[in-house]
Amino acid sequence: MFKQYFKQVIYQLKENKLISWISILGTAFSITMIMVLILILQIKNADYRPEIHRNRTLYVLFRDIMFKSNNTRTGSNFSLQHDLVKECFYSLKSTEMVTAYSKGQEPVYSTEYSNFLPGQIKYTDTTFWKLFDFKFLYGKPFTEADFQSGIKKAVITENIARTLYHTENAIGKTLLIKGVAYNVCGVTEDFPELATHAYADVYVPYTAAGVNDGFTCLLLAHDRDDFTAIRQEIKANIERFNIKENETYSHLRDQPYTHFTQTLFHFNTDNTQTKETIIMYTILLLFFLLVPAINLSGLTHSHLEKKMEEIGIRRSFGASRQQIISLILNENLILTLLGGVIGLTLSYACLFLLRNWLLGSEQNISIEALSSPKIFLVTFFSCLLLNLLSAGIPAWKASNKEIVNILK
Amino acid sequence: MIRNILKQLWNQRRVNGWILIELFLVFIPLVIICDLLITFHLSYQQPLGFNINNTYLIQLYEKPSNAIDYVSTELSGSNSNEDFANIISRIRNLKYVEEVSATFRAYPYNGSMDGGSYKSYHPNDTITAYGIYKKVSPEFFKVFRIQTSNGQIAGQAHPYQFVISQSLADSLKVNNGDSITVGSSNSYIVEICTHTRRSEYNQYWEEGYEVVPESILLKYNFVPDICIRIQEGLSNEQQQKLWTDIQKACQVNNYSLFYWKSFNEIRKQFITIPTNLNNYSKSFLTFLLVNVFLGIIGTFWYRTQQRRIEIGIRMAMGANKQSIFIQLILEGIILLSISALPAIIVNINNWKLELIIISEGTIATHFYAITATFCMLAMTIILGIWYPARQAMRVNPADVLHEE
Repeated sequence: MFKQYFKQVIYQLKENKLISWISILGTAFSITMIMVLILILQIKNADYRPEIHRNRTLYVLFRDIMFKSNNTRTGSNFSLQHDLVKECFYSLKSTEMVTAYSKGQEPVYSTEYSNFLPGQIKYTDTTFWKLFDFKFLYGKPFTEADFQSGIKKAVITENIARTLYHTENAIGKTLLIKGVAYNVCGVTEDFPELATHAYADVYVPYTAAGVNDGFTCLLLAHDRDDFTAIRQEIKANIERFNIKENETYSHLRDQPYTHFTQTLFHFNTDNTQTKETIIMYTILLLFFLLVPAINLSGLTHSHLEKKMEEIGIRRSFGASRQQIISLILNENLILTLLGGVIGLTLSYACLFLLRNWLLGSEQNISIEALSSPKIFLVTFFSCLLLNLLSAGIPAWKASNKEIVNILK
Repeated sequence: MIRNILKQLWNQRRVNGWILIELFLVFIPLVIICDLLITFHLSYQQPLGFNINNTYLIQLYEKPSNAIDYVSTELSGSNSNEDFANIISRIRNLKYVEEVSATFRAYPYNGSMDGGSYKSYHPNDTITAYGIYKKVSPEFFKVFRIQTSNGQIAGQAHPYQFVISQSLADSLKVNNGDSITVGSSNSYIVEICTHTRRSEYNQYWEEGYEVVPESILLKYNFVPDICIRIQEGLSNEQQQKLWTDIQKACQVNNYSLFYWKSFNEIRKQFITIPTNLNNYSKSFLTFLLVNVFLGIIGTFWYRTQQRRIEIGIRMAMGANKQSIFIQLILEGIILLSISALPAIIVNINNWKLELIIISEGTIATHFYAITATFCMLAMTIILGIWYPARQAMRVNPADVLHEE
C-alpha cells in the first residue's frame, strides 16, 4: 500500500515541480520555526550534564528587605546573606539536598602565566558537587573537611588549566586569586556556559574565601510533588528568622522559583511574568502551525480538484469514504514528513549559526541537549498535526462528493 | 474592471476564503510588529548626546593587603591614591591616547547609577526634580564628547559646576549660568548640555553631572574606572603596541591592569534585550511574509492553470497581455484590501484596549505601522502573483480555445 503512495507522490513531485516544492518548503519553514523555539526551550530547561536535576530543583535568588513599620520596601533584589541561608535553607527537612553558592569575577593568575585572567569564580559548599554532575578529568572536588576548615583548595576547568599551566593535569599547582594562593585539587571537563548555575572558571569553598553574602540557593526535592511542602517549610523558616530583626524583615516574594520561572528573572523587573511568557510561546506556536496550515490547505484543495477523476474512479470501484480520506492524508503525510526532515535540519543549522543572539552565547551547544528522542517525537507530531490541519478538511470535502457528479 | 473582479471573487468565494482568512490572520501581528520596529527605528535615529567611538574602559586590579607580594606604603613611599594618579598621568602621556578620565559608575551603557534630588531656586518658588547623579572630572566630557548646545565640550568652564541635560534643565526651568543644588551640596553654577539618554532604545532622561577637578576626585576612597579615548584609525600593530604600553603604565606598586573593554562591546552587552526583541520581531515578520508569498504563488498558479480558457476568451475579445497581467495583480490587491479592513478594526481595538502591547508607540507610529504593513503585504502579493501572471500572459488564445 505504502509503495503505491510513494510512487504516486514521487510522480506528483516530478509533474508539478513548483507546487510540490512550495508545499515542501512551506512545511519545512513551519517545522524550522517550531523546532527552533522548542530547541531553545530544551536547552534552557532540560536536564543535561552538569545540571541533571533541573526538573526537581527550586531556586532562591534574592530577597526584598521591607520595613516592619509600614510594609514598604527599603530596596529590592538584595542578595541572601549567609546566616539567612544557614537558618532558613540549610535546615530544611523536606528537601533531598540544599546547596548555596556565591559568585564573583576576579583576576586569577599563576606563577607560570604572567597575565591576569578575568575569571568567573564560584564560592560553593560541598553539596554543590553532589547536586551537579561534573566530569572530573583529574583529581576530585574539595571535601567536607576542607570546607569546614576553610582550606584553600580550588577546582578549575580544563580551559583554565591549559591557559595558566599549559597542561590539563594541574593537580597540586598554585592558583592565585586576588593575590591569595589556592591549591588546585581538581580539574573538570569544559561545558557550555548555558548551564548558568553550574558554570564558572574556578570553584573554591566559600569558607576559604571568607564570603558571607551574595548567595544563590538551590534546593533539590525528592520529587516535584514535594514542592508545596518545601515552600511551606521555607515560609515558616523565614517567619522565624524575621522575628529577630527589629526594623526590617526579609521577604522572598514568590520564590523559590522553578527552573523555568527563574530563567525569566532579571534583576530590574518586579515579577517574572511566567504566565505572560507561556501565553506568548503558545500564541507563537499556534501561528507557526496555523499560517502554513492555511497555505497548504489552499494548495491541497486546488490539487484535489485535479485529482477528482482518480477519486471518482476509486469510489466507483468500491473504495469507501474512509479509504479515500486515508489515501489523501497518507499521500500528503509523505510530503509533510519530507518537509519535516528538511525543517529539522534547517532548525539545527539556524541554532548553530545564529546562536549568538538566539542563546546569548558564542560557545558550542552540548549535543546531549539537542539529540534527546523528545525532539524527534515533537517534530514527528508537529508534522502529523500540520498534515491533519492542512489536508484534513479538503480530504473530507473531497470524499463527500457524489461519484456521479465527479465522473460527469 | 474592478466590479468584474469582485463578481468573480465572490463566485469563487470558497477558494478565496482561505486567502482572506490567511491575510486577516497575518495582518494583525504584522501591524503589531511594524509598530515595534518603527518605534525602535525612530528611537535609534535620535542623537545620543555622547559619542563612544574609539573609547575604552580600563579596569585596574589592586592587590589586597593580605596578598603574597603586597607592597606596603612604607616600602613604596606612596599611597594607593597617589599611585592611581600616577597611572592616570602615565596613560595620558602615551602616544595615541587622546583623552583619559577617571569616573565612578558614570560611563555610558552602565547598569548601575545613583540618583539625586535637584533643586532650582526662583523668586517665587523652589522646583525639585529627580534625576541621575554622576560625579565626574572635566576630562570625562572630553572622552565622550558631551557638548553644550553651541557645540563646545561641556564641563570645562569652571572647576566646580554642574552640567545637566536639556530635559533636566527644562524640568528645573533653569538656563546657563543659574545655580542649583543637589541633595545637601553647595550651590553651583549650571551648564546645560544637549539631550542625553541611556541607550539607543531609551528616551531622553534627566541627568546631571557634578564636575570636580580630577586631583580632588582621585583622593576619594574607591578605585575609579578609567575611560580613555584613543586616536582614530589606528592599525592593528599600533593598537597592540598601545595596549602593551598601557599595561606597562598600569603596573605601579600594587596596581596592575585587570582587563580592558571597548565601549562598543559594553554597549552590545547592555542593549542585548531590546536587540534580541528587534531580531525576533524581524524573524517573525520574515516568517509571515514568506508564508504569504508561498501561499499566494501556489494559489495563483493553480488559478491561472484553471482559468486558461477564460484568459483565452478575454484575449480573443481584445484584451492585451498587459491587461491580463494587471487583472491578476488587481485580484490579489483587492483580496488584501478586503481582509485588511476587519484586521485594521481589530488592531485599533487592540490599541484602545491595550491587549497585546509590545512597544510604546504613539498614534503616529500606529498609523505608519498600518500603512507599512499594507504596503509590505501588497508587495509580497505582487511578487507572488508575478510569475503565474507572466505564465498567463503567454497563453495563446488559439491553442486554448482549440482545446476547449
